[in-house]
Amino acid sequence: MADVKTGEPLLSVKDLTVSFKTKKGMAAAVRGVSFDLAAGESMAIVGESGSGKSVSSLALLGLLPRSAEITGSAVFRGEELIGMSDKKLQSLRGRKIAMIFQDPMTAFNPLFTIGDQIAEAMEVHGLASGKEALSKSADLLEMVGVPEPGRRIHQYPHEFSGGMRQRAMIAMAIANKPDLLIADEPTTALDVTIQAQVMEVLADIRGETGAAMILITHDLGLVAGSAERVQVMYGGRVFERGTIRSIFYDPRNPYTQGLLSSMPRVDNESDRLVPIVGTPPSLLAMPAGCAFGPRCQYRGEVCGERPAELAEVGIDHASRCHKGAEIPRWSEVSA
Amino acid sequence: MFIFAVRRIVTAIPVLLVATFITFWATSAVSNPLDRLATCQTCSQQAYDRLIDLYDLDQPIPQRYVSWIGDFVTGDMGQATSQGERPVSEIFWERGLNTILLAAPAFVLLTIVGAVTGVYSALRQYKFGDYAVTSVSYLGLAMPTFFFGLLLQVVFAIWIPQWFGVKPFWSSGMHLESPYQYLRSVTLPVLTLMFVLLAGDSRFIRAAVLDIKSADYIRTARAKGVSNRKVITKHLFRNAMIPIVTLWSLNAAALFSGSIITETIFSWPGYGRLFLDAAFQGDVDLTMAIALAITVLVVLMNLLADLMYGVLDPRIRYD
Repeated sequence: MADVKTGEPLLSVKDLTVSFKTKKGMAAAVRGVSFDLAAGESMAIVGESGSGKSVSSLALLGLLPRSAEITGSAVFRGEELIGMSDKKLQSLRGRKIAMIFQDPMTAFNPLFTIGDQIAEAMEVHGLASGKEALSKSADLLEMVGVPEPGRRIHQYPHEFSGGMRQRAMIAMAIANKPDLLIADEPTTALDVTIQAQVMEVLADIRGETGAAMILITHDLGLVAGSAERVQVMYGGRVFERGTIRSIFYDPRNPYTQGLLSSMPRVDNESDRLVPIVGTPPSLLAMPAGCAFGPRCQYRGEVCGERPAELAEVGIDHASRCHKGAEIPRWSEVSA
Repeated sequence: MFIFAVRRIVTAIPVLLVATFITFWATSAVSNPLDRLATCQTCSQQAYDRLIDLYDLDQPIPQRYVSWIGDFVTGDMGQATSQGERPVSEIFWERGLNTILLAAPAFVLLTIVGAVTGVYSALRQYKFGDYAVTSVSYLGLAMPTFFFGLLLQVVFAIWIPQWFGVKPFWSSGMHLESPYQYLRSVTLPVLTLMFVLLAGDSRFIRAAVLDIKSADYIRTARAKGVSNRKVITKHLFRNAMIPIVTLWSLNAAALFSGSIITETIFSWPGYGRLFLDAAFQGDVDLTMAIALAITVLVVLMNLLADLMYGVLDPRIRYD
């Protein structure tokens, strides 16, 4: 899927790496991530904490602390984001690329009204100001399903419930009709029932504005209904990427299979969940070879020697595994 | 907000009563005005009787306290035996003005310099500027007032006396003949008062700003495309102000209640030394007047800080 006019993707990321200088040495948070995202497309990045999924999106917007070293390339609508001047990035942030953050409790400034904060998103880009911006904020709140928006814009964040706040956050993100929405764990801090509502709002909004979306989550269940493609990340690398169908019905990577087995399913007879043994590796002490090696039930000698390459295993489907052919298919594992 | 303020002022009355009673009791218990007459060969029985009558020394302390309050609320602050029997009210206002003349510039300077250095070092965290401010701060934290004051005395009274015209331990350090004279005489004591508090202030404000700097909503503001300058002036400062207001109210209470050490080193006739003299000589009326003033000051500053919270933070409303 590419832009019809130019044949260019909306966002093209190549070999993105991010590392942090720490007292104990360099911590490599993202180690070579590449993907293309077409206009209007929705892609999910899935992984455990520390897999580098949030860091890679923050790096695109230049929102990481200065101790972060970023290399590689990320071309957004023909412009290189990595190394872009602060001023130019500012004009993109919130205008062309908007972010929805994880914790709506802390992501709003407690001292300003919700209306002020949504209006500010428009004002900084000169798209509306004063009374007009405020009344547009009310319209946006209405769009995301906040009742009585005219009254709610004058309220402060602490007067909103978690779910309402996340809706307000979405309203703020779409205020300038961005081409790309980055949703960083948008439902993690919410109740399960509210999660579904918020995802629905997101889907509706995307339907209306046609924005592309990168959904960052650790919750595979969330991905199924809201993304077209998935990247599974582990230890700063993409371990498997493919369409929703291929990831859910034909996962080839042991890590993806592990994630799926550890998730409850309605269609599965077995009543036991199988966890992945062990814990994700520390960024400061990545295992030599495959990052997942020490936790992998299929590991062989080669896995401890060098990292595997991401290799095509089907149409629009790739997996990073030395043991590619020996890994049993998901239909056999899950049966 | 108005009702809250009134309620707070009303609830301050028991605080004032308790604070003044404790001070009264402590002062009366440890010092006996009659002591001064004990070694006096030429003093007459009349002088004795007069002191007993003046301080109701034939009555127990709680009763003396009640009669002191009775006199005080009717406008009679008593007489300062430690100051040649002058009326307390006269000395109280005179020294009060002197204290303000020293404390006000110190407070203003402390507030400005503390905020500037604290914010600067927070925004330049772990860079040269931050390390420079931090090092000087630690120097200030480590240096007691009496040492810094004496250091200034040595440098400006002995090495370069022409600058401020200070003579070492000059008997009257305050000069109000002209604004110029005032500035000359007030500069060194102000610096002394300020420097020691400044170190703590600067560190505190740095921490307050750093705390807010890493808040999620600061990242949200940046993600909206708000410029760095505006993120700092609009989103960061107002949030950081809440703990800083507390600090400022504490500073004001500390400075305006007088400083014993600084006033002594620079011979500044303020509350600090007056209070010490009065307490040591069992001058109950004068001690009480100053103690009450300090208590009122602390209560007022707390109230002011509370009202400021309400203005700054919509989550804190008092109605």
